[in-house]
Amino acid sequence: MAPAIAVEDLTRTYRSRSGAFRRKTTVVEALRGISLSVEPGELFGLLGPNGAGKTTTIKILTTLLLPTSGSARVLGLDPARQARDVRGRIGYVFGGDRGLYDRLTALDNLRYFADLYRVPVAKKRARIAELLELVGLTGREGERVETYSRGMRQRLHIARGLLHDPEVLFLDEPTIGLDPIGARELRDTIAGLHAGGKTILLTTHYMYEADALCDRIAVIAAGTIVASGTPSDLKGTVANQTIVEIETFGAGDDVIERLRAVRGVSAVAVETREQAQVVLVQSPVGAEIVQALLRELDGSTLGKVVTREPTLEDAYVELVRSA
Amino acid sequence: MTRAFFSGMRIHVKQFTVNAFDLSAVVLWPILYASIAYYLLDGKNDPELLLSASLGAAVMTMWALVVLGSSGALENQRWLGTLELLVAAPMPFAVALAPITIASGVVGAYSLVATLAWGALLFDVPLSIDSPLAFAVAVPMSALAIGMLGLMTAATFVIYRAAFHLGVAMQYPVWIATGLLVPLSVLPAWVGPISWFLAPTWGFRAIRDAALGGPAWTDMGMCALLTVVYFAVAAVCLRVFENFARARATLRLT
Amino acid sequence: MNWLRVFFVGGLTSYRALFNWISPWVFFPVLIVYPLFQTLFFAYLGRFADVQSDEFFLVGNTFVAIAVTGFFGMGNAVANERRSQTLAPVLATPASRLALFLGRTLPSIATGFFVAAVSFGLGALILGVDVGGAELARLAVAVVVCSFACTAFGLCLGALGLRGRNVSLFADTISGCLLLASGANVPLERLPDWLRTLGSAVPLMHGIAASRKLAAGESLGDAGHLLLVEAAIGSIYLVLGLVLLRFFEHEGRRTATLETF
Repeated sequence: MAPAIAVEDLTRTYRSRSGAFRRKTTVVEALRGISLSVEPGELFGLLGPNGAGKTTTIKILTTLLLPTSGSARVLGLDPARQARDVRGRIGYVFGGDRGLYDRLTALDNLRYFADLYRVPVAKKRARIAELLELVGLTGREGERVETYSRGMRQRLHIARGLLHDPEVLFLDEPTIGLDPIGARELRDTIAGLHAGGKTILLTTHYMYEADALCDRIAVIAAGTIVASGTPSDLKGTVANQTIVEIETFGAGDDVIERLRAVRGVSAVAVETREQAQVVLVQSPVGAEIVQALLRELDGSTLGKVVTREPTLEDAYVELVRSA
Repeated sequence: MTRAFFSGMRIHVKQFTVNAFDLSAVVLWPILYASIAYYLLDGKNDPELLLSASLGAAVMTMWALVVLGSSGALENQRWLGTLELLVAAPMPFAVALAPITIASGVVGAYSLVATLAWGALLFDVPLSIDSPLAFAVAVPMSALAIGMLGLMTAATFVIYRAAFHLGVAMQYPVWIATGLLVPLSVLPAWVGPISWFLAPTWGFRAIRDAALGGPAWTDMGMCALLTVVYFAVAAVCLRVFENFARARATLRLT
Repeated sequence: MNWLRVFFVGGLTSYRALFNWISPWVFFPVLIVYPLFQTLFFAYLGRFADVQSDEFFLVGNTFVAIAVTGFFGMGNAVANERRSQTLAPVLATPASRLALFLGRTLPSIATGFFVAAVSFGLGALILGVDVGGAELARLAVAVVVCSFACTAFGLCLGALGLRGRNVSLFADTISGCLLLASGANVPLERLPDWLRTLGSAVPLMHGIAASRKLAAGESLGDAGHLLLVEAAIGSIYLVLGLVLLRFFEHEGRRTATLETF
């Protein structure tokens, strides 16, 4: 079966001119040749930090942006040249506060977009009711969107994206800015859609979200795909590693460098968590390095020291860091 | 308190010079009104009338900037969410607001340059000022008095959500009632007494009398009197309306 | 079928969503009080200057009110799409762009008509101007044509607004210049040639000239050619506006002008 989404060597550069007199042209390569494919019925995650190229990719696939070179196909159609056909068969949902008509009610918004998406008049009412039920907004549809919380807006966005029952759904960071409960509910909804057979391309920078939801993931950083596979595949890249987590208070750069130099250490990353720093030291399983690390840290204030297995997050951090 | 006042003035005047909108308000609109007046009054063959029209158009601009500036600023504060903060500050709200309205009046006075230059260059409007000293005093006094009137009207804007649009609507009625371009003699008799209580009436008369000869200093006296009265009324009104807004919880609403 | 739905129903929905002056708190001061007092201001000035009649200024300023509604109203309605960031979701649909944007002009034209009717009615009442029923009916035609032309111009301004240009500034400047250059308040023969030429390139001047004739009792046939010119000017701006919107959409896709999306 042909893939639902097929991207090959896609590139996209932005040119921006700044300055009024000595015109300086900055060329930003947002996408440097990415390739991926999504099978029908798959929930595919595009994972990456801010500025990696996730939104650019989605915008190209949803016809809102033209690629600089390379090819992209959605359901066998070219979003650049067959935009209208593509638009009728995909749904595009992006996170955030905007993108809805604040002054209108949720119902008005949905009715309007239903017309724009050519939902047959006979089916419109039932479809809208069904979607409101799905996203949990039944009973609130008569209220103006300006009174909605962020979570409610996000859910309304999803309802809007599903009005015409698209085969492929593009979700651009759908849970961004949501509280944990709201985010979880939204993820459940997405999982439900997946179970119902929809092809979904999801972008996110939340690890656990990609891990929990996606069949396959591609990690994108600085415009290239640095790894792709199932969540277990990616965890496998760090499977033979151990992570030692050391909580410190004020370990300077020189200390970190010394840690890196310890024999057996593959990588060192530092995270700030509230009041303390956490130093994450990666090393192959079996390399007994804890004593050596603690020796280097002699003199610094230490908190917890934990040895654990790597998670997808560690894999991700490592992949992104080396990109 | 005076420091806050003057630094407020400085900020607002500076803001005006950067804004394209306000440049258009200070240069283009007064010229438009003056031109319409020139074309219509040309047939009367009275150069003094044309000079009066130039001055009237400038005073019109002063009021327009004051009322739009204050209502616009308040609406801006609402949107930015800083209205609450201003009210919560230890200074009387009137002191925070006064610099905006007075600065607007001052900037509006610059339109005098535009209208007089335009009139002189294109319509042979004579640039003779009878009493330069009185003129030099009358202009800032008018700006101050008109600014204070603006402060008083701003009191009502505090509770009104779409303040800017109310400001828009208040331009023409005041222009008409104060005899700036259209002399009071053409208007119904009952407008006369109303005009006495409005600063632009006396500001305009002061400037015009200084230019063409007349009791400019008396007019300025009225300006000064009204300035004091306005400020007193404004301070009270602002306190009352502010409490009203606090009780009704409308300070934060946009 | 769907095209018509998007045009009529969608157009009205967009109007409710994006037209700035719907709230009565805003509508009343800006579109009722302001034009009324503007009319009175110039009518009194005209009386003082002994130029023309009250009716002259009443007609002239009613049409200026239509221009304000069209320029600001329609202009901001299009530009507001950018502020609410609904342009991307809307353009991501397969809906016809023509139906989408044309549909928005209809409610705006209707608003212009309403504003003109109220402004004229109140002004005539206060100034004591008497206009016969037949003349009113013909004036109504002129109002519709002019409202169309001004809405079309507003669409153009709005398109520029999508690229970050300040719609309100342009609308404000141009409607101000039209106070002088359209013949609304100064008889055209008193204006210098270059000003008349400029005024004739935008809506309003021909509409006003036609309505003066109609108010004086002339027939639609006599004033017709002026109305046709006004309609033609409007159509040119309409096409220009739609072309601009299409162009900006394409540009937006090509150069990722993220402000557009």
